[in-house]
Amino acid sequence: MSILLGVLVGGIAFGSVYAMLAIGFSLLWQMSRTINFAQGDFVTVVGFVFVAFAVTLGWPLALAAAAAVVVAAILLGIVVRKTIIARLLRHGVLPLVVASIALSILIQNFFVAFVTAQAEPAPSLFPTGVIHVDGVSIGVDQIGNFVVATLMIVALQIFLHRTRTGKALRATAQNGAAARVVGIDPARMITIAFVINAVLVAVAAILLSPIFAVQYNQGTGLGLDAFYAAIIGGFNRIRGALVGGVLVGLLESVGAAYVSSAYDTGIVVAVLMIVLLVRPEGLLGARELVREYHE
Amino acid sequence: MSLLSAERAPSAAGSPAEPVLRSEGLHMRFGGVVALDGVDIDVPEGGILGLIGPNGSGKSTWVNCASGILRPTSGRITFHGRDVTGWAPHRMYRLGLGRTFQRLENFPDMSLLDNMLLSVQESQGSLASRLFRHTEHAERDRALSLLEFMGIAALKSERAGSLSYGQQKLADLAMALMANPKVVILDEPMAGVNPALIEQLVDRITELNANGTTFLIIEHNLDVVMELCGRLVVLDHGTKIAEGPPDEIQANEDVLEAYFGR
Amino acid sequence: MRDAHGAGSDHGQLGDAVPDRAPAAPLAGSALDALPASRSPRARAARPAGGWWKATLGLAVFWLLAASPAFLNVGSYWLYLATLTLVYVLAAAGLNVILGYAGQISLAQGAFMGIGGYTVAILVAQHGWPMLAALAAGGFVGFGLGLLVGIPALRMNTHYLAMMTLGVEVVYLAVVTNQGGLTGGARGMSVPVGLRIGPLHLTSGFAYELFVAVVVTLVLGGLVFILRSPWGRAFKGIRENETRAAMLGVNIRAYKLMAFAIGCSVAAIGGGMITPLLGFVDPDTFGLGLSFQLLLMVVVGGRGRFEGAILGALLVTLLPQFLQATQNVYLLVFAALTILLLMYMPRGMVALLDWLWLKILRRPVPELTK
Repeated sequence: MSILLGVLVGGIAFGSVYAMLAIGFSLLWQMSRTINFAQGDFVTVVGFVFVAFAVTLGWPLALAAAAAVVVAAILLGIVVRKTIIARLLRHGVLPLVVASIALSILIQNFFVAFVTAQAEPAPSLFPTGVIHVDGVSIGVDQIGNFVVATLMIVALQIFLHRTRTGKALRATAQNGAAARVVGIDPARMITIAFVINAVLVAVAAILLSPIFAVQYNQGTGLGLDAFYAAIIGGFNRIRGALVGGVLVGLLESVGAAYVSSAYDTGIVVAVLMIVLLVRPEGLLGARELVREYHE
Repeated sequence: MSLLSAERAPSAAGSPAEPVLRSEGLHMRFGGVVALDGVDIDVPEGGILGLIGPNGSGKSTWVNCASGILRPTSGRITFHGRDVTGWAPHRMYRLGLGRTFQRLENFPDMSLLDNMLLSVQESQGSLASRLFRHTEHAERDRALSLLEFMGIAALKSERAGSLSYGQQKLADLAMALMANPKVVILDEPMAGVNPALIEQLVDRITELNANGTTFLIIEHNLDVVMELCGRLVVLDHGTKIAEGPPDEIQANEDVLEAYFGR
Repeated sequence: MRDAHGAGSDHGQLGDAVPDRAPAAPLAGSALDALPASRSPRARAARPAGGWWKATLGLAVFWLLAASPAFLNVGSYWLYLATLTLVYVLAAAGLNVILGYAGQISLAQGAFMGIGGYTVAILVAQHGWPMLAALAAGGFVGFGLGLLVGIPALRMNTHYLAMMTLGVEVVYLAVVTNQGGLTGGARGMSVPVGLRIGPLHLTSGFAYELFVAVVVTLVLGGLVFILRSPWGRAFKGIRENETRAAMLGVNIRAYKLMAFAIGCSVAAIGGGMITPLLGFVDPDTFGLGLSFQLLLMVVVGGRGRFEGAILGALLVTLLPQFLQATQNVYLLVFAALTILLLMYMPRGMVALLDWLWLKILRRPVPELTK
């Protein structure tokens, strides 16, 4: 029993971080119909930046983390948005998807060619240690991950529901044309969405790097997980991505523990395909009213 | 095999016309917005029905429901008495419903002729037979005739997206006619069109109607509506507020109120 | 009836090329009905001229190159590379049907190549099937699995196919790695090099290359046949304006399904020809990266254009041979170029070819950046 609880705890801890990635993903999709295949590789970028600040430059962890988030917001948020995305938005979804795939390949090969192919260990924000509750061992870092991720998601929800900009963002996601009519600038909204995504990715990277070590090819698996999470939970709703993320974390954890570590993603994919067959809009996604005849 | 269906006799003046297309209690809801609130409309066969009303009254929504692009929340749509509620657009097309769009919707990178051919290729044969039907003489002939009828035959090899606005309007109508539909829905055909071309379009529609094609026209240009339509239906805020011959509607208090306020 | 002369301004509206028109006879029940489906000169004139020149020229160049080892001394490595390129051309052309014509994103083209590769391996190495039959079987398996994946995936919009195909990739890798009994697992299967046609056992690289060239020509010819038929027009209609196409009776799901299944089948045939070239097949032969590479080929070359897929495959396969850089730097540069291309020359490299062709013919040239 305690093993199961331990597995569940682990799953939720991971899941909450995946949820951040999935939420960012969903936001980008809702705002600009971008399927960001480079989401996982964005995590790698921030991981390397964080390691550069915290290890190579030896900055205090809090500073290194904050700096990494800022760099991410600028580089992965603003720069990407204003260069690549700006040009591609008018050409439709297909070029955006292919461009994000190319970006993924670019990032991975950049790190191999010009930085290192090795896995770089990253420091953890949390002290090592284990807490024992009712016979279940919970790592301090697991609690830390869960808490930080939850705080970020709550902060995002507050932003989206209590601030003017947040409401403008939601309005644009629901009905871009109507939002434009009331004076909301959709281009600016897309930029904000990219920045939010960058921040979510950055925090996820800082939380995950100590666990996985930073390596050029990490991004593929993580990106896929985020993708699956968004699909399973529901692409077009933030709460869908949230639920999807936690679910994927749980499924992987349970799968690895009870089936075999080779098939842990396999279980996720199996669930994915079932969801696609039975409820393609995702568990919490919204069915679109018009027949899906256009992009 | 002829592309044209059996010749239809235009309905004799004064005889009761059967509704070829009808909606009963059509209700359409988008989240919190009720776009159509129980609308009953009869489109009489062989006539030209005008669907008018202020912006946002639900005209386009009704048309989208009738043509299969939207699935109504509740209510019924029938075609020649047959329940076609919720039928997909391509099935409505095969039944004999054609339509044009408010915002020009054609296939911009294909030639005008290809646009025309695409408009008819699905009306006959099967998926498999179409694979082998490379020479399409009858269809090409018909396309060219229709294009000549509209006066744009010389543009047949041009990219459809490069045509001028007026030319695209004519092309739109030609495309809607390719499969010889029984009913054609025109969604604001005169929007943004210059007066000389309006005359042209009115002529063509009248000619086609005289040969048996039923029309339903959404239009804001009330002159055109008065001239063309034998009967009008007025929508406001998703409900039908009036219906009848144009001169009656013109004098109708509720209609004036809907358009111009109290 | 008013005639076409209105107040005088309608000519400008309709275009100067349009002649005055007296009202035509009504269409219904008109003389049109009486016209036999004939080879009327009007109908013939309506068909676009040309296109045959380019195709014939292309075919001639293709076969000249394919047959060149007969009179040029080409090393075995180049023969191997040429054969590989031919296979990629085929797979890219298949993906082009899915992506460029029907407008769907498939991320499993590599997996379908793998399905063909493993099918041929199993049938030839373990059951002694002749190569052609095994290839045909591979094609059928690819088609069938394409239908299986496509039917549920195409119920919703475009991107669900992308997601499903991603799932297919992962499932493919999991199956070939773990189903050792069928596929040889992580170690893979070995296959006799070269091919057996009837009593002949051809092991020379040149013979195999010619065989591949023949198959590629035939399959591409089949694709041309399909794309020039009303199916091709329907694909393009779906790509350009799906709603309108649906309104005009195009059964969107059926056509998308066909495009997808055809593309997958072609990939399987291509993959099937790689196995005897390499002499073995294992999970890494057709990995996840391959699907992405094929996608890049189609997009960089120019989607929706036949020449585009060919050009893209040539570029991606042959360019690294001429760039003396490591694999990683090459991929980095290629990915960056792809992004730039998408941003500034969205029609792909084929736009450059068009530009050249039109310059040669001294015709007006459209902007490259559109």
